Amino acid sequence: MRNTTLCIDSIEKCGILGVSQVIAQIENSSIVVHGPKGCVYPAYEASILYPLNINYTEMCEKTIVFGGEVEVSEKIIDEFYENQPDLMAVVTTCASEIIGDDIDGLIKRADLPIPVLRIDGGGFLNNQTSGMNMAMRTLVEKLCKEADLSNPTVNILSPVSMNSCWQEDMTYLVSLLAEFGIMARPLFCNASVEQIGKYAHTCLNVVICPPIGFETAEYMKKAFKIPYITLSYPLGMEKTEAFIKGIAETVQLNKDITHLLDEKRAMVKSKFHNGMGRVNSVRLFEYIKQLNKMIVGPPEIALAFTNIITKEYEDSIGRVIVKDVSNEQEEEIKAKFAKISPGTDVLVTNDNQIIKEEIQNNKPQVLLGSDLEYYFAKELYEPAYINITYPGARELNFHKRPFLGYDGTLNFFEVWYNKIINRYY
Amino acid sequence: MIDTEIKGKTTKLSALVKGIKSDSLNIRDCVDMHQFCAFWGAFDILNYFNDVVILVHGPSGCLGNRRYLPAMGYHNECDNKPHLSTSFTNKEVVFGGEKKLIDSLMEVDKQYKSKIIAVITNCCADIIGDDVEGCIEGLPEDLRKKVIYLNTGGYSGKSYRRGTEMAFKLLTKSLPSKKYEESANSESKMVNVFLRRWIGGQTKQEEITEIKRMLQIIGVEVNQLFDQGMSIEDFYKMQKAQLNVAACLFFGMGLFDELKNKFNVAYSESTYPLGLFATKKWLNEIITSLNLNVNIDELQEVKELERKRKELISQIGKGRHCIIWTQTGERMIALTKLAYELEMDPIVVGVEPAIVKDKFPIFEKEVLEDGFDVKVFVTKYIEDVQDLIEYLGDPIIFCNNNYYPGRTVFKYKLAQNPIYGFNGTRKLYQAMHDSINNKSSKYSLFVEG
Repeated sequence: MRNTTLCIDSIEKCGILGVSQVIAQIENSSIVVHGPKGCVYPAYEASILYPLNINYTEMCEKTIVFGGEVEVSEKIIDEFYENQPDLMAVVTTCASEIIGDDIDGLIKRADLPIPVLRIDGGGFLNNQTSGMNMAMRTLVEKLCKEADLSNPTVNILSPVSMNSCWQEDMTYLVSLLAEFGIMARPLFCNASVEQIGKYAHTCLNVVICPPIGFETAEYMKKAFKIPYITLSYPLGMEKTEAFIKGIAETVQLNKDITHLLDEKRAMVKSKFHNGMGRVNSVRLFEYIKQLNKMIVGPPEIALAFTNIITKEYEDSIGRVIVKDVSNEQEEEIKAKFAKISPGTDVLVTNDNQIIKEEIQNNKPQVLLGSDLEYYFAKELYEPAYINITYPGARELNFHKRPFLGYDGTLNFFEVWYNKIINRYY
Repeated sequence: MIDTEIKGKTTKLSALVKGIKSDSLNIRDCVDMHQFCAFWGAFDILNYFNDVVILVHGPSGCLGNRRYLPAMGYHNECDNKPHLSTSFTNKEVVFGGEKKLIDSLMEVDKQYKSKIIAVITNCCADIIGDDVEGCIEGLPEDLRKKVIYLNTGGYSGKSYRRGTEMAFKLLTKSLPSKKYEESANSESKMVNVFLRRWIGGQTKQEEITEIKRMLQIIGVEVNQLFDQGMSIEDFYKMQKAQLNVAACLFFGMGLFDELKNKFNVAYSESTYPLGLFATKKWLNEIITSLNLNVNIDELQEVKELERKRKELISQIGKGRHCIIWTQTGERMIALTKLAYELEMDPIVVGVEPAIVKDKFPIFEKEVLEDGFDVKVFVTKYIEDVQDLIEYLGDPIIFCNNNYYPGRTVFKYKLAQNPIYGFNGTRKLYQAMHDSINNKSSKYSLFVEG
């Protein structure tokens, strides 16, 4: 539940963005935004990174008073013939939600030979994350007709658009699990309509970045009796091992994977030492440790990066700002951080002005977060900035590499190390 | 595409504008991401002022969307100012958000101590009919005096531009109505300058420097620059000037009309000083309005540019065809005028009738009143444009996205390069010269295909 007592500078964009980001993961998909012109922008933003056709009804005073059902009908047909999508989502906005246009009825009447779904994007109902969850759940609800729990494939609920390498992360996790004899698929990651239709052909759902995907997992449990587990975000060797073991135990994998896990860990360390030995010494690590560091991000992400930096890089994080729209889990969140890094100060907030103040007052020399946090810092000084969450538009990444898993441990380390020494040494 | 097909798709801009005016055309909508809703326009204008805090009455999503615009190419800029909202949920939509608004105003006043608190609404608050005026009226006197408000819900169908005009009107209304009394030297000629929309960084600084320099040449001082980071006091001082001038008149016109009505400050109707002719026209209009005794044709700089212009025409080839593919609006008109200045034969492609309709005041003035006209090739498809290029032989193509390897492409990005004034003209001429001498290479990463 959101904090409704204060006026805030909210950390989240509106639901239309979250919905659009998920729909954009479906091949040849379209969005029709049923709302005023200004509401198209978040759909446009989603379409910049991933292909997505956009149309909109441009609601005006007349449609508010008399209803916009004619416009919606026209746009649905228009969009179908214009772009011939495999799937269309009609996204409602604040205006269309309040007046209550019968979108479901219109979709039924249009009777198109493709799935056309209604998804609520209105800002008073959904923010970016809940919009994402709403879209995921609706897709599963409408497209998955039957389940097959005997299918050994494990679903991983993707944290769509969490950062700039999330798709590479998902692809990597699937191939990593295959090495352990576990078949897996990432949900809502470059999927076709046909593929989504088979999402319920699975023995297990795995949520790695709640609340993203949580609602869908809950739905699939209720509707199809598909069990789900929640595992820590698999960043770093420890959490990657926990991720693999967690799944292996749940699916009752009939093989001992201990040896392979040990091998993987040894391989990462061998690469690390060989790589460092040829080029660098460990001297600079001691200087890096002295720098004041801050992480800003949603709970799971902030926790995962704190863990890898403190446990696996043997460094420290002075301050973590956890971005959480609900303030209800503050104590629980702080307790989790205290367990892994007791010396780290943790602030939980849903307000960008508080985040800005913290950054500008503390002036962390190393800042992990999104571009917004970087610009808050840049107003006063230049940190060593590492992008870990959306938006991350400042830098180009033609060859994105995963941050998750074993490979990701070293990929992230490289970025971490190079950003810091390029800034300070 | 054969000759008859090309000719069949060619018309004149004046025909399109007249058709839109008489409502005789069936126009399809288009998604123009530079034309948001009235909410965005109003917010952007109020956000210019450092001593105005904006409180949005409604859900917070609209605000989150506008802060950082990498999708618009603004990945190096972020609006760090507070983006405050009363953060509507379904509870406020059902039961009303008036109490929340009042509480929020108290909180904003306590926390930010600004000169003005501007309340603007988005769709939710307007549709449910929250009595924003009533809430403000009920505030304690000290707070009530500093709060202004606008109903700017995007559902109203009013465009971004209309939102800016509403904000200008509101700001001007809030200013005291007596003339600014600081004694001004009646000999000194002062103008207020309004820059173009969405310009920043080094480009903005160069354009400001150039505008000030040109005005200084003709003996005019800049009274106020309507720019990000100004104060309400700066805005008040705008009434001291004898004339308002704009780099982009249609963006500033809302403000100029208000300043004219309230403080009788006239404004120059010349706009977009891009190229030598347009710059001279822009300056001459100021000279005439302020009764200055200056002949800019006698300036050495102008003579030099005129010489360069003739040289360039000779290099280009008089009467050479050119294709102009850019954003429908003032830019399109300005680039076409530049083409005429260089004695080319332009044809415009990719014109969006929906945008012409949306920006109708611009086209009405330029085309129907001032007589500007140009051929229009009615298409937005790259294949058709490529056929047109083949048909025309060796045209120069003015565009931002280059699909034309081996062709002469003039790709001077107006948003990221200085374009105004004599300095801008020099750079445009140089860019044109470079384009003629370097056809676009199929090996370039920036050439598609």
